[in-house]
Amino acid sequence: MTRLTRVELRRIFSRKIVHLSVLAIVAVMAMTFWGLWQSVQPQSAFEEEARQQFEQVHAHWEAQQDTNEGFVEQCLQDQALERERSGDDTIDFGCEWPEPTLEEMLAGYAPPSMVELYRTQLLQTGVLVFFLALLGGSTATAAELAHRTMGTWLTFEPRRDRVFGSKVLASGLAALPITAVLLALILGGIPLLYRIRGVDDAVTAAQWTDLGWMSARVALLAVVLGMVGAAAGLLLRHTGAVLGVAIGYLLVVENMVRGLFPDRVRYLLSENLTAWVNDGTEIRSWVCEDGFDGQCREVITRVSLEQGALVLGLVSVVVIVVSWLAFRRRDVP
Amino acid sequence: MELVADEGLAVATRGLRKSFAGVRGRRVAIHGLDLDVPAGGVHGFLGPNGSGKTTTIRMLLGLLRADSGTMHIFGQPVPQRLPQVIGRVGAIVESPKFYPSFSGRKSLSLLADAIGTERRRVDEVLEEVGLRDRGGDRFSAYSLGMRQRLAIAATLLKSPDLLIFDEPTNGLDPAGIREIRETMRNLGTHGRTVLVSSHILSEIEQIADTVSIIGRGRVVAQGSVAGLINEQAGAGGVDVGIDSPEAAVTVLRRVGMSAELTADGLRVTGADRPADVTRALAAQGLYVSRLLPVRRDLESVFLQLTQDDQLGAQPAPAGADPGPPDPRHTAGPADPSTGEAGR
Repeated sequence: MTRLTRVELRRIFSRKIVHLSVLAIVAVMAMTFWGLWQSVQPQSAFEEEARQQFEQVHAHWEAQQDTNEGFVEQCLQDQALERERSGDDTIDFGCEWPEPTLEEMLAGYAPPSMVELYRTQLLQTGVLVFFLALLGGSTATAAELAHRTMGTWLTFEPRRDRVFGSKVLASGLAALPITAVLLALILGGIPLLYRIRGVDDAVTAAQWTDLGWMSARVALLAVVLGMVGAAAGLLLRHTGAVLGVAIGYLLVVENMVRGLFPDRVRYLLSENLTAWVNDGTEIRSWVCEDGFDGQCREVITRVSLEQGALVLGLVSVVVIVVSWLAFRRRDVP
Repeated sequence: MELVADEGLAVATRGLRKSFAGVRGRRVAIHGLDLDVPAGGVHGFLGPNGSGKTTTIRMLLGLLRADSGTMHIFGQPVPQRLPQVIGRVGAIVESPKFYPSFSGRKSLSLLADAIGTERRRVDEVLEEVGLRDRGGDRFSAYSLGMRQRLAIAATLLKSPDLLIFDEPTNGLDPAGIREIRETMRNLGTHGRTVLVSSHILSEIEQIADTVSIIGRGRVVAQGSVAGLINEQAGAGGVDVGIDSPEAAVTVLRRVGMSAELTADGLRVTGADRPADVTRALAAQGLYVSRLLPVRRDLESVFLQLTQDDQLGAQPAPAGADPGPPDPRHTAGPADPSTGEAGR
């Protein structure tokens, strides 16, 4: 099977769709880093930008003072009348535009924390990687059925268990180098970005350990999803069918469960996937009493890493085993 | 069912049955097929479209599961022991299937790696089929003939003892057809067994040593090509040229032969030997000017044997008893290793 797996890996990495996917990943990463470049800037650069904006806004405010004098007087009169009529002195028509200050413009900005940026980017990159692994895995096997090359393959290696194992395993392993490159870009690119932008921040040793584990979990799940994709491709025989089932689940099943069974949200795959990547997650949902007049309260449910692993692992095993049993018995076109 | 494990036979099936689910119930495609392919030489697998040739081949190769019956390749039961025997079998089922975006060389090198054959074999087999210079081109850019040759090259990677070609000349131009036929004939004369399925009678007659004729999922005749034709020759009769054909018809009918007037004489059937015709006529003072045995060819034999089957496999109720194998026609030695007459 090792030999077959190596051949499958060669076949997968020879495919044009894989080459195009790598180019697409490079493009997505370039856009991601462009966005990060915009959001990560030093305090001095931000202050300079804020000062320029303040000067523009203040000039506009000054110009408004002369032209809108009559409007402001009328507005204040209307406001006084309304206060008198209603007896509510807090009514504010917003007639006056207070003079903008530089302090207001500077308030609220701080360069994003590097470790938070890491976590966000690892999760976002993870979702991209997971989608590609699932897609790549399913197309690797479904294309063989669509092109009917599986029959040719089986006339050279008729042991279906070995063929199934090699194809599924290779699809999982193929996700590994692509994921590793993406993670390396994130892990190496962000500190570089901070340094180039002159923003001081660092990640502690403990945080690096957490990020390392998070990256490992992303990579492991990418491998599993590559295998699940390949198994689903063999089971459903078409990449479009695999994507249809995945998107249908996300759009229909997940939304339905969130709306109708909020106490079952903890079993949704997306929540368990987030829990696996983020080392646990919290789901905030509103649970209301019966009827429209009932009280609603926010309920926070914690999904642990272990539960995420269990749910994702169980679903993966079921898909792979069902596909394997079907592949053993099915007629091959 | 008798267990066949005869190494003298390259392929043997007994009571093979396969049905497919359809909107109008199950359709029985193979109906108790008993097939014997002797080892060595070219064996034609002849039948109308839809008669079950491809289905049989796909079952032999483990691509389809048989409902019942047994199959053996070189004495090994398949699909159970197919992994042990597949190294001796090269097959092209229907049209050649490779990845369109891969080059011919890439496709073959993947297959070579899968079976642990050295990569240099790839160029050797490409050379063998005349594709070495085009090996780097994408499969999608190949003509039908080139695709077929690439598929043959793929089968040769294994140095097989049994080659199975399913309708190998479909879609080829005359030059391609001739080339493929020569290739098959050559393969069959070098000690290998070539099983060729086809609905083209002249093709099988030209290249095959032995033949199995299939109709409605059953073997209706099998044996040597010459044997099958000769067996039917008696029914072909003789064409007779004579000055007074009407009188000759009367004479021949009187001695129990069938005779009919034709444009240039008469055709006589029912005579054991042509000499019986001349003797009967001469006894009445009638002398023949021309006596020609009516030559039978595989086409006439095939049409006669499959006259009820030209529409191919017909729907049959699930579970219907396929009945015993049709013993109507056998001819010639089916197993050269034993010299045993066809079954």
